[in-house]
Amino acid sequence: MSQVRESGVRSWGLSLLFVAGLSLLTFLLLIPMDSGSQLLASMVILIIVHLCSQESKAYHRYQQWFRMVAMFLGLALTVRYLMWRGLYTLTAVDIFSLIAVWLLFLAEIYAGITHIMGCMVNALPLSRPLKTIRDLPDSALPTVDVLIPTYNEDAHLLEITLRAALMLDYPESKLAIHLLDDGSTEQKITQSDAQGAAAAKARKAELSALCERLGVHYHTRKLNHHAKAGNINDTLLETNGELVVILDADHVPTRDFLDHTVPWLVENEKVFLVQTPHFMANPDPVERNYFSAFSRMPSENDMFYGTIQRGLDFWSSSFFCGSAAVLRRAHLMEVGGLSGDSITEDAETAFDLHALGYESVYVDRPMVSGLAPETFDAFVTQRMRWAQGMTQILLLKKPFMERQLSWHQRIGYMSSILFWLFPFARIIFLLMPLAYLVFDLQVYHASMADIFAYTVPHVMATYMLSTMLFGKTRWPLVSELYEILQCIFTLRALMRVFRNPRAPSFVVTPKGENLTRTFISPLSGVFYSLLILVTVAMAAGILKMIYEPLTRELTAVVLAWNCFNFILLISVLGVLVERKQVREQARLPANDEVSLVDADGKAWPGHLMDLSLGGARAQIAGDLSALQSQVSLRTQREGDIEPVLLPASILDVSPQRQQVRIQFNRDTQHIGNVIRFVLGDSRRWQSFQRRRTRPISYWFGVKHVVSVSISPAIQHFYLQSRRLWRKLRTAKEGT
Amino acid sequence: MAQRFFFLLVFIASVFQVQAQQTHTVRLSELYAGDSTLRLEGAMAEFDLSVPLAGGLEVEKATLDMRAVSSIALLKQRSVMAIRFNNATIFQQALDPQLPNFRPQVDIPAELWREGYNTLTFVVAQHYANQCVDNAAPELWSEIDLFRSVISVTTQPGSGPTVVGDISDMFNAGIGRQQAVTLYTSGNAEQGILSDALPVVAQALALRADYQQLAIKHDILSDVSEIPAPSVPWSEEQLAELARSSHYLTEQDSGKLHVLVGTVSSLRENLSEQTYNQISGAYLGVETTPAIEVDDEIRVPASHRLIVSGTNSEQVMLAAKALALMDDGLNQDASVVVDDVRASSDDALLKADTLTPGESYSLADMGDGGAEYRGETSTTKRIQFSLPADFYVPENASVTLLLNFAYGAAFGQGSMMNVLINGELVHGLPLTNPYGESFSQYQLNVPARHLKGGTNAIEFDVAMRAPITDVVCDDVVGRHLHFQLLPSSRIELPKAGHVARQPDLTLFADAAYPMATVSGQSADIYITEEAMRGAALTLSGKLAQTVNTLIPDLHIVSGVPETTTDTAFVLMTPQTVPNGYAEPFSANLANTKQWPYRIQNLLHNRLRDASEERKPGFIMHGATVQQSTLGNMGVLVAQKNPQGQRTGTVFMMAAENAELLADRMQDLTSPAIWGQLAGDFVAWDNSEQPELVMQVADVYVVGEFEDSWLQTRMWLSNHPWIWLMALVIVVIVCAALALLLLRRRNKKIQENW
Repeated sequence: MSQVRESGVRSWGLSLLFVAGLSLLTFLLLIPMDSGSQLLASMVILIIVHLCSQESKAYHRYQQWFRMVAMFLGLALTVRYLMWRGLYTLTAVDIFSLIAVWLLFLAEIYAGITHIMGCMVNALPLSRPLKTIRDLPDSALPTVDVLIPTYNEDAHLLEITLRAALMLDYPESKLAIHLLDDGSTEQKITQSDAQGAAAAKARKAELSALCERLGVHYHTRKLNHHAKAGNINDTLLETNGELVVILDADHVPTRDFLDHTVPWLVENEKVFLVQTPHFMANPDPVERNYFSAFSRMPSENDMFYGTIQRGLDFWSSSFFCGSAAVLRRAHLMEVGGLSGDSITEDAETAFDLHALGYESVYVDRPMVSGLAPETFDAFVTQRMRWAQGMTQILLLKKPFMERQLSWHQRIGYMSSILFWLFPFARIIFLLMPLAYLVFDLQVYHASMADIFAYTVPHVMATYMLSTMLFGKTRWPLVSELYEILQCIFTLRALMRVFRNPRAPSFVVTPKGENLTRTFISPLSGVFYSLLILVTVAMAAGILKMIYEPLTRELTAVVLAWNCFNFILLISVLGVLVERKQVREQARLPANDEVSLVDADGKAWPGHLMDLSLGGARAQIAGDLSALQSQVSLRTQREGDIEPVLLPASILDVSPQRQQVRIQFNRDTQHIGNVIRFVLGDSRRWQSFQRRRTRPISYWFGVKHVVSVSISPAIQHFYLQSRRLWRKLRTAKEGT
Repeated sequence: MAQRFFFLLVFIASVFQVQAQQTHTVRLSELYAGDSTLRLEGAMAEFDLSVPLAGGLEVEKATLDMRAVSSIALLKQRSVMAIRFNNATIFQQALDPQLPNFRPQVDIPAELWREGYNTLTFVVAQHYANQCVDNAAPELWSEIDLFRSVISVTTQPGSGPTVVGDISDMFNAGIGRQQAVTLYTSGNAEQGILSDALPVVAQALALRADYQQLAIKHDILSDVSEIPAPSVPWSEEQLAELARSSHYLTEQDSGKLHVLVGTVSSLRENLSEQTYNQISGAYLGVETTPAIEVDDEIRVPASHRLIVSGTNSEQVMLAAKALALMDDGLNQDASVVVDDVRASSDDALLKADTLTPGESYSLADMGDGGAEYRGETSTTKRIQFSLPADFYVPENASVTLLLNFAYGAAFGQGSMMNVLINGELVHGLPLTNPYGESFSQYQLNVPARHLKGGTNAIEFDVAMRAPITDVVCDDVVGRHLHFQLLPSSRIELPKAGHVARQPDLTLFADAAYPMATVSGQSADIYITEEAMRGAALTLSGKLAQTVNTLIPDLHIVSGVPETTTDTAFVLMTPQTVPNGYAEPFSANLANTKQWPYRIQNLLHNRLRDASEERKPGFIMHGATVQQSTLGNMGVLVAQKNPQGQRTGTVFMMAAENAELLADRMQDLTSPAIWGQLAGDFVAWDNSEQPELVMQVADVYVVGEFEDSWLQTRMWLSNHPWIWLMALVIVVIVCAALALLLLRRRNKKIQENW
């Protein structure tokens, strides 16, 4: 007891010392200095930050210490910059300049605060060990209800998810799978639109038959109130499992999902949530259309699930992401099921339960594979919902004032929520060069010496820290691209929330769409407008450089800033070319040792190159000419007693390259095995994720972005010209 | 004997002739701040040069010896150079391409001269053809070598000062002015007279010389008995008359105005009864001393003197102060008794001529009437103003110019206005609107770092060009061109702190800082030998000229006490270097010299820009210690004062002996040396060019730190490594504490697993 008290006192003492240190640091950062001296100091600090961040990547005893020093020094430059901006540069000669100056400063303050909070949250991401229910007696295992809400997803997609859920490694008697169909409610069946009503009726028949066939509980309800949250809450009243797993319709769990999540809930009664990453089995529009590097570069959500959720977990504020999570029914029911004040019911529920003092756990192992939105339109729809929902939480729940949360939980939530206000800052950063270059507003009142002493080191330090914290899971400039892509649409959505926080309604993200042709996204118009504006600013800047030699220094800086925006906007065009996608399922790299066995039992050994639910490509040794059209793919997965045997048809044989493409036989008898082999093993996702999460240098990132930006811009021009030409021709033929 | 007497008469006559009639020679380049070559270009060009003439002189004869060269492409019949003096044409000559170099000797009629500023105008009309001459043709040029062109003026002294107001005539900046003056005190003068009143009188006289050099000497009134008696001993009457004469004058001072300073009792012997009786309070008077003639021989010539006196030291001080502050034009009496001098405060004197940071001033407020230009010309309007010497603003502070100006219709290509602050171009505007334009409150925001403590200048370069018609031989004469800069134009100064980096001889030369500060703190001049008082007076006069007003708290103290004023100026020789002024300094001026390597390293470079000295890598540290003299050199060193109570700067000037020190002080106060002071170490041995200008010691900060934030800023700006080290240390501690706390939390979390 006395030891605990002593430890508590020591912690308090350390905290007090730390606060005193921070106060001293703030004071030091507040002390002004002339720009020449500041430049010298900033350069030295940047060198130390660079060296420390390099050291922090190596595994040794002082790794974390170097990480901390780099972080504090980098943040010191940021804080000093913001203080300098606030104290010395906010002057303007007219009201328009004053507005512009303050808008820019507020955007910088926002960026600074989110950066500081991001650094704090991700200072020491938590690494949890992998637990297994095998270490627990069967009697200790709680009953589990797997809830799969659906609205408009088709039966094929649902079948895969349901079959995968049925394969979960968990005592059968304690596991129940439920399909929560909100697309066939009485409200839908009795709607005035006859066609819609008929479709809902047919859907109900099809899905209930599917559930019956698979041994899954089918649920539907009268009304579609409160969307997904309402659907789950209504079902919670009809079920009684101690734990509740929520899976989106397209989220296919691996067999070990419950194996690695349930122990955390069994061992700690206060845990209300075990969240796992959403592993996306297909590229989102940015990854597909722009980088075409889905398997080579970190995915967009790798940063969130690979780093940020772990950081939040350290601060007991990792939150529910709507799917791929296990919740404790008892705690959930204390808040009346999933919360419904916002359209991000997941984060809101976690917030409510954290406020009650319950704990969350984040298990960083991809055990659910889902589908990312295929089109840019669907992507934007999804992001608008997230942004609106998080802003609703900010406005309705005010996490920064929630006394029930600890200070670090408040920071954790604010960090997650404030991120979604990025459209305000991003648009200001995009358009502010115009204010100076075109309208001659003095947006930045500083000399070149000041800019080099304060601004440049701050920007460099920010990038250095971002690289140190997120370098493996987010490549340089990728965040900027995503932000630009979303900012205009999300800004409009956010404005609606600010006008009326309760106005937004849940919109299901369209998934599983097929793209049969390459086309320009209908949302391109706004980016063309932005590009025109930035180009005008560029031209105005060049003229200003030529004709206004006295302001050439500042013009050069703003022009460089504008050029940066221009490159990003050009890059964005690449995403807006929606590329044709013929394959139903995205193929992911695989390297399983396999053999192809024909009906005579003759085997061709080799290894897989890629794999999807539809089929696979394999590098096969031996005489391929002897291959029959029907073969079986045989392999032995680690931990399985029986080998996997999947019947398949040969699609293509390439004797020169010794490659064979096969298509799996997915009839009722074999579909289960295919799902089990392709989607049932989390080690496959983990290996794939490890393969693509790797850091690159900043300059390589910039080069990469620039290099993939040129051809899409030409493609835009080509496709738009063709569209116009066709329109003209059609009009001519019509007349 | 007769032969000896004859030679004596001839000598005396020649001396008086020389003294009576003087010829002054001035290079034209001394009258012009620009380049020493004046180039006149275009079909017609004109240039005015101001030629000042001191007051109280009669010009007997004046000659301009001019060196010029003109283009060999000119057409002789249509190319002429004319010279005008006060608008009267005194010379003209065809510009002959066969004789491009010419050296006219031009007589300037004596009757054209007037006291004060005279205008010498050079006009050229240049053509290379009889018609269709392109005004901008490059072959249309003539040059005048201002350095080798000289004006010789022979003057006859006037009647001398008859009223107190006439003394400014004697010292006014101009040809024939008095360049040296001696202040006399009695042998038993009170200390207050020597230390307080004399520097004020010296400043008063120097201020009348404007920016021109004025050598001030000090001497003791000699006793009459020291004058050798004539063939028969002096009678009582003769001795009394002799005492009232200027018998004490040296040959050098003969014929010049000199000054008696002292209480009436101390000067009693040298004053006439009438003057003595007039001195009932603080007294200022001019008088002509009687000539003493014995046996038809002028033993003591008549002379003019200014008397600054009173019944006690305070009154003498009051009289001296009145002399420094009074307007000469108002004093038309031979003597004045000053009852009082009222000023709101002493520092008001310094502030009066200085713009206050944070305030806004129109050109009219600064005593400038704006500018108006007509015709095709390129000209510069220069507006000078003073800022506090310790003017200090952050890097991002701005000064705002709100200009009211206009230009008329039909300006041609190439017409423009450039704005420069302290020589740096900050704005340019083409004057291109064919209908003309009028600007009100045309706003320019310029970084305040362009301004500096001391004298600043804003220049408006205006070029007015006639439009080009594109028709051959149809040039538009640009007489219609019209530009106005209105006196209502304003300058808005940013708020500033009173902080300065020291030691900085540039700031010292520009603004007499920190010898003269608005806080009015005493900054004394210390002399280590009595013979140095003249040099100290010359310096005090120069300092007053620098700030353009009286520095009331400037005292000259004999000897160097243990505690000096925070800012101090010490005059010394290697033999008289006071205790404590040798060891603490990087340069030791005592008999055993210590020269820092920095000086040694760069001796071969001669004159260097002091600001370059901060470049690292080229400087060896250390010192050489040697037994040597200063030779003919004067050395001025500025360093942190070890003897002041608070942080201040001590300026130490040394020469090998007091006599050399006086000479070097005269050199120091010459525009050439004074204008090139920089860094903290200057050595020189003539009045033309310093031997060495260096930054030797580390810089530090002084000022009125009412704003401690500003003080910190300055200090840290000089010591960024300290800030950096403090930051890194605090960050390391914070990072270690943060890591400790994070690890504790991590451990706590793991305990629950």
